[in-house]
Amino acid sequence: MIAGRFMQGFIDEDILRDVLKYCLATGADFAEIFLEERTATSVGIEDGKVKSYSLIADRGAGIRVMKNSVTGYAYSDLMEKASLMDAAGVARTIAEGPGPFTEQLRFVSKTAPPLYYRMPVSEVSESDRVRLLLEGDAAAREFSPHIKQVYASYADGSSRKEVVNSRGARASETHEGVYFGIFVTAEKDGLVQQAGRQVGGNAGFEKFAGTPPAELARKAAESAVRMLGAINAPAGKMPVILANGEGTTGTLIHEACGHAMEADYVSKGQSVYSGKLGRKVAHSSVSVVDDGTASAHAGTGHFDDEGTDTHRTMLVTDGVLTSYLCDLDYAGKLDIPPTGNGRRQSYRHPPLPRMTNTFIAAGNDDPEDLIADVKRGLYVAEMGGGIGDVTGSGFTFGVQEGYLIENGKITSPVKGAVLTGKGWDVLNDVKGVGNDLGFEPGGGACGKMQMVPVTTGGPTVYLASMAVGGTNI
Amino acid sequence: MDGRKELENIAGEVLELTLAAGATECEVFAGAIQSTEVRLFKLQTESIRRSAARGVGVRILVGKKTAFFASTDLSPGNLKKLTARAVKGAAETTEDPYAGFARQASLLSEADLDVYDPEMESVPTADKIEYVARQEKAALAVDGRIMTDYAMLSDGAGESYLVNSLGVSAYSRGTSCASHVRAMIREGEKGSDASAFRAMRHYKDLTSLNFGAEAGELALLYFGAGTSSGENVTAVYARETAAELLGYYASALSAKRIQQKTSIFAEKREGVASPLAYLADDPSVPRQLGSTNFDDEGNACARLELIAGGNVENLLYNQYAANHEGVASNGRGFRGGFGGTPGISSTNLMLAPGKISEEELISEIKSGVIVLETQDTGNVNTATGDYSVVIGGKLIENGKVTRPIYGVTLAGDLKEMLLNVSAVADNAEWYFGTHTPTYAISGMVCAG
Repeated sequence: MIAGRFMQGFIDEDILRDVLKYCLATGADFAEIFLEERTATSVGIEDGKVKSYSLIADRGAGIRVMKNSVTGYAYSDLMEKASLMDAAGVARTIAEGPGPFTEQLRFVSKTAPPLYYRMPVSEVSESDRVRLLLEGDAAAREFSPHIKQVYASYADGSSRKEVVNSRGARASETHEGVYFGIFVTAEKDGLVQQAGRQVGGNAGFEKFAGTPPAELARKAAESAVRMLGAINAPAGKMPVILANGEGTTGTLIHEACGHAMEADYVSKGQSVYSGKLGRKVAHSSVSVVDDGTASAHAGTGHFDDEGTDTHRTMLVTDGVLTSYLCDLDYAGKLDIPPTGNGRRQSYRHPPLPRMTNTFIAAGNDDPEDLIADVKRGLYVAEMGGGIGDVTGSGFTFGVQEGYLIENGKITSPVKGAVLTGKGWDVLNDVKGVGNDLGFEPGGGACGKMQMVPVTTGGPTVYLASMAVGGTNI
Repeated sequence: MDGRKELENIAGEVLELTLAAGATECEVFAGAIQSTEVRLFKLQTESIRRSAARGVGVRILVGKKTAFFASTDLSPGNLKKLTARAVKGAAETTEDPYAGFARQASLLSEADLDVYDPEMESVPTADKIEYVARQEKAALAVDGRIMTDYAMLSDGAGESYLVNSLGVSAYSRGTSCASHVRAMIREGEKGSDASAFRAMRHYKDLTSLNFGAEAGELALLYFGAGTSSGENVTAVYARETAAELLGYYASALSAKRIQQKTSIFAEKREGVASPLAYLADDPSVPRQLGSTNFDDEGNACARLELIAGGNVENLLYNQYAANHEGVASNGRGFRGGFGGTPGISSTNLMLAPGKISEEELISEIKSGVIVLETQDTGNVNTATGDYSVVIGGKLIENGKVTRPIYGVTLAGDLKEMLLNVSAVADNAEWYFGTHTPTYAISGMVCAG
């Protein structure tokens, strides 16, 4: 870790110390102040018109106080001592006990080195932003006369965060992020289909050189038009092949298993993975990773939002459960080292164990061989939204772009397919793992009472049998 | 909560500042919210959270070009910076002939809709904890295997002051509270989970309800529930799922989506519904979650007939959609707080009850499912009509309720479903701002 000069904090260190002491004065055992300043710019295009230019600017501090297993939380939109003390006064009401906090509070401070952004957000001009939208809009419409509606949005932002706690930790980090999303509607003979694509991450404007919006726009348009010819999805249990990266394998691992590996569910005995560290939980070809250090992805950072260094965490290694995703609180409860997964949407929210960039590691199989092995099944090229499985009651995802596999070949596009199953079964029903690891272009977010940016990825994965819900029985 | 004067001053100052920075027209929505959330785990307090925010959301017009900014930092320095950037940003956008704000607040009614509970902010935390604990206990009492994921109560008050450069101004204030219990069973690798919740405008209205047991009952129902497959299935929507489905149709009735042709009602609005489906949107009902005299642009809103006699009778407008057609807005432009711009949404949806009891309705069904829970994974599309959700509920066989089901996909097409409303029961009740009875839709497909 860089030991260098701590960057100028938002507010004098002595004030932070005073507020923390005040938090602890009624007997609490932990207190934390999270300060944040964020700005975001976004602009969209709809019906060929550039519109919805929007600026959001926020700054404030969230105060967390804990005693035993109880948390008090309050925030202030003003970074002044009086307001912070007010919030602290509210947060600390969860602890009522004798004795003021008398120990010395000394901070060990660390600043994340600035991530290198080739073209930082501050250098992006309004016309740069608009140019991407116009390129995306034109590319989608040029693809086919069946494209009737194009909606695209661009956003960028920066946030500066500082967290300090009563254990003496103090960390600060600055992030920048960019986002482009496009959503198209295709229509032919009264049939309507829609498709969307997005790209984004903890990166500067250079992210779009690698994944040009015009190319994404073409992909979205192509998908929507192709789906115009889609037949109704079959229904029943069948082999399923998930395409690599691109929001398929990644979405599955995030929703079917990732949430269940978050330490709060595990610690409360609610997860199918509770009490199973060291046990086999998946096919031996499966390894699952959550990597907050991976570059330029949406979930990346030097620290999490509690000041813990991020990690590349092996959740599952060759089929064996080897870790959970922890924040400070649950690392303590489970008696395992913190993994740097304590994340929060903003200063208005307390942190929770959250995923960062989650993926299935590459395997050894040739993806072509996997597809060729399927007599009748479903090929998932793009997933829609999903609801995760924690307890074993099951997950659900919609398939945005799917195809039949017939006799080892990808054939007709299908619409309206829904995948259901249990996360536990999915990891154990893996029949093949491709050697083609890919990440989704990014721009996604995970909701667990509060939104945080995440990325997912994986290789082509072959599942022996999954329940597919469609209208074609 | 009584910050009317303060919000009015803030809104007025920001309006002046923005016009001075070069905006030709301006609308300022100044809002303040405060809320508390109490969360229990295993009958013990797990967390207490207090939120309070105050900020502005400002829309500007520079000629016919638009921009928006929002901030909680109301210092003059910050506001000056934001207004300058917004004016510059507007210059990059395309001229939009339909942009424009509400022109005059012609309030049809100043009726007090009783949506503000003055006692809510002084309810002691201990009382809230006691109520939630009681609900959690009731869930746990259903069966020894039941655990709770969480049990919580959140309550809040919000007020807003809207002013625009065309002379419209409007103040509103409201409270709401909600309680939520999530129960689960986990045995080995098998599990189930289910939620129950209630939301009201007044605190005492909420705490007079004891609903916690429902979460436990549903978790038990779904544990070990099987699946079912079939064509030509009649789906019976009851309570929250009945309200949720109506919400999808309401979103397709947005005038903007009709104009953009991204609605199932874009091409056809006559002969699109069963004569049994009579749907209205009524903001004038006192004490409900959607009750209001005007929308978040300052336009008045009144009761609207949405679907009657098989036809769509009215669409929902905000000012932009109204400008697009050169008509008056009917006041359905709502934002989710000061941080956003007005979209289009309904207020209190009301489906008229029928004449038969729920029992009679079920007894007429040969092959069906009672839908008690739906999981929407993005496969409900109000533009294409695709409808595919994963449900939990009960099976109906030859007029009798036989066994529970879970993880079953229910699929259909929203256009056909509206035509196939085959029966409507007489048991209408309020669920989160929607008043609906149980109703049946024929011709659907189940897979599981």
